[in-house]
Amino acid sequence: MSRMTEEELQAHIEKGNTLPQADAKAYQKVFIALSKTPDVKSSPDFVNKIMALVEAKRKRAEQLDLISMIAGITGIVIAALISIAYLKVRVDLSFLNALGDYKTFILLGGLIIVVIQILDKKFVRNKLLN
Amino acid sequence: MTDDRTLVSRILGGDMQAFRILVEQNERLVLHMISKLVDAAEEREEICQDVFLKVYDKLGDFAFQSRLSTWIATIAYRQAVNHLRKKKIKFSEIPDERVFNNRAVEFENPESILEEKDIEQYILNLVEQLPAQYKSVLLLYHVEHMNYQEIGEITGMPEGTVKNYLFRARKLLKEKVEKQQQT
Repeated sequence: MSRMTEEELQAHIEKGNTLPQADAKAYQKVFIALSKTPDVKSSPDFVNKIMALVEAKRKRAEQLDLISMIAGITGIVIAALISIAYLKVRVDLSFLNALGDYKTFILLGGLIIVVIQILDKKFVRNKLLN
Repeated sequence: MTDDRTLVSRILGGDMQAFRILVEQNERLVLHMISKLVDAAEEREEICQDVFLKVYDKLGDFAFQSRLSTWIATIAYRQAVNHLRKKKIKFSEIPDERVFNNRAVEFENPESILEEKDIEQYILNLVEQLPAQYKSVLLLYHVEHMNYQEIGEITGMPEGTVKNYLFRARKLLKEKVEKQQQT
């Protein structure tokens, strides 16, 4: 029988075959040692540390979102006030009197939007997430 | 074990308990990966933390084209390599076997015949002297049971290179074991 190449030897050992050659035995020892889990451990509160870091990061991001939103709204209001003052625009609110005739429709429209939002949150979004 | 899709959906929906599960499931893999590349034990845990923070930030980009653990291991590998580059620690793309051979001599003790359990430790010590890419490939294949394609994805090496590194690393170790047993 011709001598096995190194590749063939490794393939045999990997399949779990036992071979009598000395180099096959050496390979067996190497394969056994390589399959051992490394002896490194993280600190006992490693997961808690990560969770605290992520939570802090999440809170910072939420605060940043809130600050951006407030800054945005304030900016829009200031810009609107400056524009009104600069252009001397007179706001005509008489259209509100006309809207009064459609009170029921407006209330119904608002109610439909709220119901759709509730149904979406309860049935559609939850289903997508699970 | 929660499946990848469910876990990711829950995390993206703001479920922090799900993220805790992700960390617990992958903590060992990330720590092993980092420990093969970064020698300084005190720096490892910090890098592991950075890995999971990055995972949390980028989870929305995960496209399920691989297993979640493979994707996390890729982030861990890159994070460790970037750390080495920042610290200006040499991370050569071509492993230097000569260096390994020179270092391995330090572990050879011709005066003692090693017993079976010592041989295992002897081999593990030799593994630690191997170039970083060899160590990573050996870990991912033999301990984490990943296939060539997954290892290639994590390390950015072609599959052929992964196979070649595995073969050469085992051969180098086998030769050292044979030499040790002949003394």
